[in-house]
Amino acid sequence: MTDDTLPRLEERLRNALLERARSYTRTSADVVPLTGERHRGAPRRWRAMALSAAVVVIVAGLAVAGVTIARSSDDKPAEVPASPEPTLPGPVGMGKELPLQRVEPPRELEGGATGIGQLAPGTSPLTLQAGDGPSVTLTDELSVPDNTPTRCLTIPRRGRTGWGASSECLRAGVLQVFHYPEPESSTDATVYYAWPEVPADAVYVTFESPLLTAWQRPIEGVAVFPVEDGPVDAVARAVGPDGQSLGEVAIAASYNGAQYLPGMTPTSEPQPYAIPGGLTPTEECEVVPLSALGPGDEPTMLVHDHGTGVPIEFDKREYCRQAAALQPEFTHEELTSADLDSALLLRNGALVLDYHDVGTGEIVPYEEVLRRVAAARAGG
Amino acid sequence: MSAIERTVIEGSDESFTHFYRSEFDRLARLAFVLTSDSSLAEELAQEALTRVQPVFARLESPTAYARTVLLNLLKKHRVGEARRRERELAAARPDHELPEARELLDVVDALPFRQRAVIVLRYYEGMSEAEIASSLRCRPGTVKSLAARALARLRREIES
Repeated sequence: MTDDTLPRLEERLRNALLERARSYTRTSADVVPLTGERHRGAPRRWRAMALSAAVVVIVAGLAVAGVTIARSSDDKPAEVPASPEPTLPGPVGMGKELPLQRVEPPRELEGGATGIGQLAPGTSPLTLQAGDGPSVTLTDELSVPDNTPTRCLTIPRRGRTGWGASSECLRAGVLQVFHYPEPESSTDATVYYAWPEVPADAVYVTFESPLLTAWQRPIEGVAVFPVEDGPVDAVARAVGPDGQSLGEVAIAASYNGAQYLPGMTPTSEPQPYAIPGGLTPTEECEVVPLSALGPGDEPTMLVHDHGTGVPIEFDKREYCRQAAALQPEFTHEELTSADLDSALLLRNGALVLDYHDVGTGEIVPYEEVLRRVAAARAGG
Repeated sequence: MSAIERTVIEGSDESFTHFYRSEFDRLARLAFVLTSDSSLAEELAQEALTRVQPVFARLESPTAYARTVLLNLLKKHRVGEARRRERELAAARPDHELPEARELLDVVDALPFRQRAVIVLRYYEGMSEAEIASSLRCRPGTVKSLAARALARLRREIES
């Protein structure tokens, strides 16, 4: 079979996939919506399997120092006995409650060892656990260099060689931290969204997204929602005792840190477009519709700056151009085979591409990255 | 689950029921093309539609939303159970597929999930790169890259 030019292959693919689709026959005569909980056993099992997976190390976000500590211990959060909660009927149509509880700070955070900086005077860490996931710690820290208080979210993570943490700091808005439950994977992240400024009178917070629909009782004005395989566009809404909305935040899916875009809707329909052939990635940045480069049709978007700790407005096409210019000459698979991961970050107004060791989370110099990728290639 | 239970959903309004009926087959068929397993396809289609229901009234495009949910469920499924079921299904692929199609589909089935999803969304659903990027929640450039890798592998495999 050597005559498969691309058009011929594409035609064969269409025909073969259509043939399979035509062979599908429904196993039941009728289709009726089911009650919400009766048939969801299997997906819940997958979720439980993912959440119970081992936890490892990575450093990301503002705490890019890649700190690890030598000792290891079980990362299961220590539970603090909680007072009985009053029964609260869940909001209609918002799925199940994702329980939030206060837990002891993990030992790995003692002494500020894993990425936690200098705490703002008069503040102390708040460690919470959402569902059966890892503990997450919120801190008010003094940012560098101006000592401005910023709110940080930190998740300790155990790796093959020690401990580190994923963290993010912002002066306002929803915090987003990537957490990788699978030790060997730098993909399949569970993304933790923490809303640290839930209005005081809120009885519960709802979270709506294509990947997670749930509600939660906030603790000390904080709500935390883990989204498997995130990031995702979402809306978190604070609801008062009479069911009234007290406020909401829109979360735009971002691979570069949290974004806070008030008024954004959970989904938007992309408009089809065509790109002329033969363009370089940089040239494509000039012709791709704005809606394909970031949320909405506006020429700019908000991106979290990991250097300053605040979201800044960034020109979408300039972002695309800088990202294209930073594209490495090796594939993600080659990077993974060298036990490396990369993170595209906005730092002090410019995009940078950091490389991390998957095991330790430490930043790896580019020369070392090239050497390790070459070695991985040579080793097959 | 081998059959669809008929139950009455409390508070299910007519518009969602209509949406459910109109979308179920489309979603199940898409899942079937990706998995070759009709029972699993229906289970995932139901799960996806169940997740759409709470937010249905507020969605601008419930069809796109449901497809994104379904693809995410499929991606998660591949991690664990899919491998076991894949082995079980290997000997029981649809016997009505013509040999030429089956040869090609065997290679498609062996692709990593995101490459397979891009191929199916592009050549079965007829979606644009932007639409695929939205459904898989990645950049259009990533879709282009995944498609190129998948097509290269398909050509390599069927030529060998």
